[in-house]
Amino acid sequence: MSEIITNKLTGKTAAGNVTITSEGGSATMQLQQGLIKMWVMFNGSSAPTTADSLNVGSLTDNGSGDYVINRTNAMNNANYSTSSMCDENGVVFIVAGTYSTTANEIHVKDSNSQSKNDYDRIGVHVAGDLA
Amino acid sequence: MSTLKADTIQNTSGGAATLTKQAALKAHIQLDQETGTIADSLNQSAITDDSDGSTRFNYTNNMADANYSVTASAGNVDTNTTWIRNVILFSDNSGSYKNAPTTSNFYMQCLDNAGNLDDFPYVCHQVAGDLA
Repeated sequence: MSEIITNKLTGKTAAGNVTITSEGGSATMQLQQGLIKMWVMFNGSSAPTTADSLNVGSLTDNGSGDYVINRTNAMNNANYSTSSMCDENGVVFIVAGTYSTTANEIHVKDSNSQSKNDYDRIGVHVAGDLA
Repeated sequence: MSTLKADTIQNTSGGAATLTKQAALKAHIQLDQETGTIADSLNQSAITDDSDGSTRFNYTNNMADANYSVTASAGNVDTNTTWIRNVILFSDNSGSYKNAPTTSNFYMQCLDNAGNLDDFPYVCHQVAGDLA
């Protein structure tokens, strides 16, 4: 097995474009496009507390079940993909009004009562283009 | 700091190189389900509108098998009284709630707070697994 050990990987022709070959060998894709650009697992009860994260600067608590995830490094545009889930019977809802390059807001609602509620384990993933 | 500059990375046999204990997503999307407009995506060709709140997502490059993982979320503006109650993976408008994903596509449905299938302006998914 050959192994490359380096601290930084940069595209030769274009710095932000490194192509990788698929597992099956029949396709290629841009490595950067496939990397998660932000993720967080946090406890949303009382003051939100981050358990672990990538590219998250801070969490803003806007009240029960209402959180803003602020990024350390901004996204390139607001066209990124977000997926998010939580424990128990909560449903995570993307809020369009604050879906920006630097932050995105989520609401977490009780699927039965349909009211916003805090939950202990909330995970958020963001994929797309970093600035 | 050492910097490696390369345009393409393969293993020594010309196949997929291993990223140490990490893997890249193989597809993702932000879709306006109401208009069918794709804001941004990776490895997604044109989507298929299956009906209100129901969409088939088609890959540009197929997955190696149908054992991949999909996570998804949806939403709209805060002032809208309609909100997402559930995102149902691998379910289509034929009445089948178990429409298994294939190597070339999968179905997803959005259920609103009233329990009806409904289009949402923000529909996102992320796919991890093996590309063909």
